Amino acid sequence: MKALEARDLSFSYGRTLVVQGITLECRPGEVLGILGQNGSGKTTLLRLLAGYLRPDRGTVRFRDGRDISMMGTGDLARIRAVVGQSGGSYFDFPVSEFVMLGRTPYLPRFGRETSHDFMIVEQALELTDTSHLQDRLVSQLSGGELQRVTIARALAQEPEILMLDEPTSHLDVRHQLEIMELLGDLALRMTVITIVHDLNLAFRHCGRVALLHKTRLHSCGPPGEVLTPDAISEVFDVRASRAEDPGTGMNLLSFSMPRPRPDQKRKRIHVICGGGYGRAVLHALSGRGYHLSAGVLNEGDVDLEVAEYLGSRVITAPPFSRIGADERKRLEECCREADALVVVAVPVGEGNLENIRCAGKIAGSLPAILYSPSSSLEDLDYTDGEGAALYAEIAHKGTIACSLGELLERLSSL
Amino acid sequence: MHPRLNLPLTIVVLCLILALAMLLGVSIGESDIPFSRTMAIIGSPLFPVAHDWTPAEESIILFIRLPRVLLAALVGASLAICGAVLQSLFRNPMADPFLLGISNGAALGASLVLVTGLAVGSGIFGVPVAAFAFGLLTIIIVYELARVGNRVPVTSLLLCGIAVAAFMSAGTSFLLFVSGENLHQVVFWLLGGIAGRGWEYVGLLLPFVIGGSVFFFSLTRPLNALMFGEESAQYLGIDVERLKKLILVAISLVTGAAVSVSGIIGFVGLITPHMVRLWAGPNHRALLPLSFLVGAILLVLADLTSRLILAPNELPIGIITALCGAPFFAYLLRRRNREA
Repeated sequence: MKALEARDLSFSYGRTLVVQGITLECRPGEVLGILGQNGSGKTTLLRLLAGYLRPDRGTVRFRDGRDISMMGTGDLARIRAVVGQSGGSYFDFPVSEFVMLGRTPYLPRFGRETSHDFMIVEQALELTDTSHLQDRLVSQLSGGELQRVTIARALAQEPEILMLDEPTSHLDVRHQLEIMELLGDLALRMTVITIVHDLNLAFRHCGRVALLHKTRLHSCGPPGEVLTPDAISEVFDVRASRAEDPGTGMNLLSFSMPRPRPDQKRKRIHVICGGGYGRAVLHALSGRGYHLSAGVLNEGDVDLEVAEYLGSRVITAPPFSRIGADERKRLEECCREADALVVVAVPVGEGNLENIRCAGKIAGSLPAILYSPSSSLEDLDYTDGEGAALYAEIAHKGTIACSLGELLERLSSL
Repeated sequence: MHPRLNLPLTIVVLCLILALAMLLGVSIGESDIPFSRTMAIIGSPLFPVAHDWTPAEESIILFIRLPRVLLAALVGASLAICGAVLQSLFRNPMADPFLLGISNGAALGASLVLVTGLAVGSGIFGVPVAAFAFGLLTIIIVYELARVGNRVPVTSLLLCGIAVAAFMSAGTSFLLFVSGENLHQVVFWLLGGIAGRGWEYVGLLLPFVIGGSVFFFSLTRPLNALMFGEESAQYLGIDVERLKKLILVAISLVTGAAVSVSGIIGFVGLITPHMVRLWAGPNHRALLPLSFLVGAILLVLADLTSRLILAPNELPIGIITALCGAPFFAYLLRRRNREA
């Protein structure tokens, strides 16, 4: 069953197409999130679904098959309620009377509100946990309170579908969560369609999301399927990664600025690292636009994940195993193509000794920098002196950098 | 409506004050008629009282003062209620009934009749009919200019109103320049006045005031919803474009009728709703009836003042309302800015 069905919606303001060919359905009792970049047509889509704008092409139909463009304003107001973007001047209106405005589609011109209307208003206040505010003036409420009261006004319309345009904007994190949880509770009684800016909020609180990209529907479905790093980077033009939040076990999206366009003249740098020690270096170098290669890294190594995330070339070895002859050959190849070698001082044992040996050999023929931010080299040695000696050799043949700043400076002077 | 305000009680009290103000207006004037005799003359159709007044006194009270005071109340009430509605429609506290150029159009119409001497030929209704017709014509022009397809955006309505009003008042200025001996008459009309207006004028205005007010009172809820924006009101089930058109038609008719009988009386329509909002809040359930009553009271008192201040000469009432209204408005603004 569908609570609302949009078919092939298109709309333009003048000659500017704002929404193109969007087909979408909302199921009863779900929270459907509408996501997309600024200007991707989210608000226009919501206005079309709400019947405020008439589509140039396509239809929006309700559960019973009625085309909403054929329905009167009053009929519509009894079926769907809309909470627009907050803003504008709010008057010295008592909260209870403000919420009573939601009864407008049910009230006659001159007649007074009945006890039924007062009961509905009371319920709406209770549902939104705003009963204690009812004698306050709307102009005195905080942002979070105002948003809840506005939702209460919408609920007083007894809608089957509740639509909201960015209900969490301008709210602090606690109030954002409160509003999203409220929407989840309300979805037990009605269908909720909401524009959300915060992708993590959408991920956690929306049953399904519709991702808009440049006026069209990019994809629609459960957040886990739609909000992939690839889709996010395509739609929002950022780099995205998805991980599990260790505290809550929930999916956590994080974002960073996209890499500058690859430039043929950019220098290529090989980084030898591991165990998470190279993370900061990899990010810093990538941020400066260097072409990166990294390795040899064991599968499962944090630095490997970072290097792959940054799109660098990697040389991998199976987990918990020594570096073999094959990997060593590929490491030498990588270094031959590189303009510089950065060796991050990591604890060295039998497993990764081969990395350092190779680096020590190459250091003479290629500008090499040993990056050793804190610990003394002896402390990192678990090979009875060979590791420390090799680090010293690399530093001797090349240079040593003790901070990221120093490292970047050395590299840029090459 | 503020939670503490007892609306029925407030309305009763204001009605009493209005009655008192009107009694005062009827009993005070150039010819010295004792208050008790005034009361007796007014009460005579209803109560058996001793007939101890001259026919001259009776006609002064019943045919000169009473209609004039009633007219003042009706004009004040209609300007105030139209001001309240327009301020909500435009969501702009500076809106008043003359904003859309009705008064300027009406002034041009009245001047035309007065200057060309048509007034003499067309009887007493020549000036008001011309003023009314030109007022409506103006607002039709403004509306057509502001219309975008089937919609009337509020900002474009305001701007077109300013443009057309400027054009109309240039026309009036031109007529003033060439008016010669009729200049005094035109200026007097422009300054606003209800001196010498008899029952015909009350009869002319009354249907518009009653019809308009009943219509506006029926809009309490839509107007409340409209305060929070047109889109929001639409979502609450109000056909906003249709509402705007209906309100514009009603405002034009009521204001046009008021201006045509009284000339241009400024500030009543602007200030009264502000005063009422200060102590009754912005809910139209209180704002509309209270503005109606307060507007009536203010104009009756202003009319009284205009007769007393330079007695035996009369000052045009528009001068009084502007003289008192402008500083009071400035005071309201200052007060609000201090609170903000």
